[in-house]
Amino acid sequence: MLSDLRIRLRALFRRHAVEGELDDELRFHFDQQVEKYVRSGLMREEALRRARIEFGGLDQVKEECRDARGSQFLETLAQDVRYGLRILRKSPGFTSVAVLTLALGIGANTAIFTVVHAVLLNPLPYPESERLAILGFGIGNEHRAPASGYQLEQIRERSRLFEQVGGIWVTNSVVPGEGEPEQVRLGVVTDNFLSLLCAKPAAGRLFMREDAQSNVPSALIISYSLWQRRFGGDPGVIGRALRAGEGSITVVGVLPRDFRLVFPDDSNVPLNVDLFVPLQGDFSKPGGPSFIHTIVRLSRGASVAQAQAEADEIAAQLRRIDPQLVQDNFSIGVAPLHDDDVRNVRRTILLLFGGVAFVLVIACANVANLLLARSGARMRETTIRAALGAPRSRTIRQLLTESIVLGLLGGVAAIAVGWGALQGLLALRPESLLRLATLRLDVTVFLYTLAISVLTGTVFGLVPAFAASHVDLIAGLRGAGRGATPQKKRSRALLICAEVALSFALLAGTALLVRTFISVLRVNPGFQAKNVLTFTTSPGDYNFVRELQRGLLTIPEVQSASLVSHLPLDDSHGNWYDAYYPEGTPPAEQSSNLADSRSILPGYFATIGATLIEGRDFTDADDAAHQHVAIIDDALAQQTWPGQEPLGRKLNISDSPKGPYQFERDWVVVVGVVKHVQYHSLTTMVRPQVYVPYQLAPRPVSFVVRSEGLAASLLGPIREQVAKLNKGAPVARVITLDDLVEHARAQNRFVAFLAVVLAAIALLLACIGIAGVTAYSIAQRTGEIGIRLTLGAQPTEILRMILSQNFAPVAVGLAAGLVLSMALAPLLQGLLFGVKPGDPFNYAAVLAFLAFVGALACYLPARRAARVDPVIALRYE
Amino acid sequence: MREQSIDLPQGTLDLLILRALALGPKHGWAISERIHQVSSKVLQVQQGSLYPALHRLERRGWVKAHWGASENNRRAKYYELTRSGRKQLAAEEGEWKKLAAAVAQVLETA
Repeated sequence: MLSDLRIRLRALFRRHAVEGELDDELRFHFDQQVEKYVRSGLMREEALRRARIEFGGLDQVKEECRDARGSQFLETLAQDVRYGLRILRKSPGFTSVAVLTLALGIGANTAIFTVVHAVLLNPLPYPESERLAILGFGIGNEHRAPASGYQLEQIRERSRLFEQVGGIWVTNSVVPGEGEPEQVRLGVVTDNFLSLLCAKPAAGRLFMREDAQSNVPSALIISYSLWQRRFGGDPGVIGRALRAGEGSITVVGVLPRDFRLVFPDDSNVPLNVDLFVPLQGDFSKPGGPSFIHTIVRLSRGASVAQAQAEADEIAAQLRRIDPQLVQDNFSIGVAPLHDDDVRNVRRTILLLFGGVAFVLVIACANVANLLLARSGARMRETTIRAALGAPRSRTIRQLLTESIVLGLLGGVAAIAVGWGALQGLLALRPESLLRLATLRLDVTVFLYTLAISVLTGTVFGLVPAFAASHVDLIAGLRGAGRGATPQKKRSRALLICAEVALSFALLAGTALLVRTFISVLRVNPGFQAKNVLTFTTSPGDYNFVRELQRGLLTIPEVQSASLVSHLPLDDSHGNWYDAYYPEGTPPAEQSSNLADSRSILPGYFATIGATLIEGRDFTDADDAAHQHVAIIDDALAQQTWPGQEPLGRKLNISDSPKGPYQFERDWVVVVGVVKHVQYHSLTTMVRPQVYVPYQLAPRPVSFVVRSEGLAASLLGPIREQVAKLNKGAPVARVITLDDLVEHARAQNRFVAFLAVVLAAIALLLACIGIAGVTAYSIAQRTGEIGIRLTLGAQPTEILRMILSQNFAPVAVGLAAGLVLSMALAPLLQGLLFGVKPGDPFNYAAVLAFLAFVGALACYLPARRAARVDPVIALRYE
Repeated sequence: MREQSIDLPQGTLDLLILRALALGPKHGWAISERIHQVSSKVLQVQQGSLYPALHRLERRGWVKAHWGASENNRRAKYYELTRSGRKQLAAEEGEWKKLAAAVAQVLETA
């Protein structure tokens, strides 16, 4: 065994020495034989002659010995590779076109694979992340609501399969301590939440049970970036007490540098939270607001299905205890955290991946056509090989090896293209699509590129290899039949057909996505986004915010100013929604309908440019002491009182007139109806809205200010006004409504852009392919054309003949492409808006466009054919 | 006049080579000569079969080779039996004898 390997390796790597030895050995034998004959009496010449005859072909003996050595395969492989490289070097034109084409096709794949790998395939950056799951709670029609404190405690107590249950709620806070007031995200977490997600802090410790015991938060954990920028990375910050409001809070730990919160989009838990405090509260009684986003770690060996079954059982138990939950149709859903995170982007990324795969196939078809054309030129070489005894399989192996070498060269160039494409992606990326991961070219991506290169080389090399290895010895040696065999023609036509069909599919899909983006651009979000600046500051009571509003109105360029608890299209902090019902609703249906609640001051609708359809805006008189009122949107009015007058009717909602977050059910009178404002997405209505006056629901808010001119110019005066009221209050999260709208469009824009790029590449490649094949077939038939011209054919007839013959595969491709697009269009379903996948106008337009482009690609080379001088053509051979 | 050379099946050639080497290392020509002599000039091994067979045997570890000086002081490649080669020789000899006896029996009785 070992000797076998040793000999094979030696034969492979020390070929020269081994060949030399074989030579010596056989020569020795020959000489000995000659000596023997001489000694037996023959003359030297006679002896030599005899020995030579006996020996037969020296090279054949050597060949047999080489076979016996068993390293044949690798040796010939090395030989083929060297030969292939030489051939490629000899035809730089062909090589550069082929490598460039492949680099484009493979490079695009590399770039998108990086995204697939980072977002879909990579595990989350948490210890044993495959055991992490997120709980979604069902209330009414909503299935992904957060939990209440009581529910979380109950699940902790009752479950056996959940090793750990933890939760987080995110709000804003000013950084405690001295220095410039800075507002950051604050995560209020259960004591075990951080230890669920983080193995080891960068400094200090994580929370312990005791930290949650006190009445006010006493322990604080900060993020690495906050530690660096605010405390200079000083390890002495651990144990330091920082001033917070009336009391103080002690820093107990710092999180690692790369710690991020990777939560689903709709959970409103942002990636980066700078401060963490423990959740305090008595959650022993049922009820209370649902605000905690809950994650669990499953016990080892527990499957998601088992966990879901247990969750269903716990939900049933809780429903038995609290009849309110029965009304709410309470349920608990368990979803693996990674799955849930990528839920929305998975389809988009996979579709993009499909798109680049199409582009790669088109690139392969082009290179295959190039190889087919070139195999005609190499016909003599392959024929000689066959005549010398090379079996067909050997020729195929050699040609395939050359193709794979070409593929690998393309792969190397593709790394550069892929890197460039990646930089482009990173520059453009919309948060929603790619916030989950860092994109980079790592080992996996390289291996993937390598695999794709080899696969590509095999695929595009297969057809030409088979076609070329089928040699007609006599004709080939005579030099005739230089590549116009019917198989080759058929292969070429088939490849063109495939290219056109795939391009059709890509173009059709791209057209749909571009039209979607245009529809999104045209959507009326229910408000006027231009020139409106928003900001947040420290929370305050009604008097504070009213004073600030008055102060803002004194700024000269300000047209109007107000505030709102949740800005439209802003998913940066927790939503507030709850069930509502009109008078006369039976208890069983009281939790069926949910609406977003928004707390505002008078003037809000005018400031953001929403349309008040009926009734009136709030006034200062609409406070907790007087009749409680609310303004609803038209969607809610339509749903609750279809066809009737909503003004003056009573609605039961939840608000908190007694103080922030102290929610209770309340009857309010509808005094106004406003046109629906898109709060969550530009394209879908998630829930209707109900607006309440700030006095009925005080909570942290964003101020909105409409300016006559540029919104950004207001920043200075705004700071002044805020400082007048409260010196230490920060002006934070300054963002315009325009930015929010842009942000909401970003994903559509990104996808449309990428689709256009891919379709453009595909179209370019297809055109090059069609034009190339047409030009080639003309060159092949120059002689024939010359004869026809001589015999009296008109140039236009020639043109028509060439066109019809070369356009035929294009036409078939168009038909195939139409069928393909119609079959694949439903895949785009979730990504489209304002346009249907089966839209016939779309297909008609793409058909016309592609037919035109294809005809042009045939016509331009064909024009030259008609101008051929018959004398030259006839001489051409 | 050239002697009629009988074509040997591959397995048999291996056996003869191993036997030829049983008494000590030899180079390729010597092996071919020995077989020729000992078989009363009936068996003439062609180099086209001999050397591939020798290389095969070397790969399987039954013989090992080294370069040395021949009788007339020229560089030659000598082959000798390894331990596993000796075992293989004994095994194949046994097989061959059994086979020959069986064939002889069949030819006599029929």
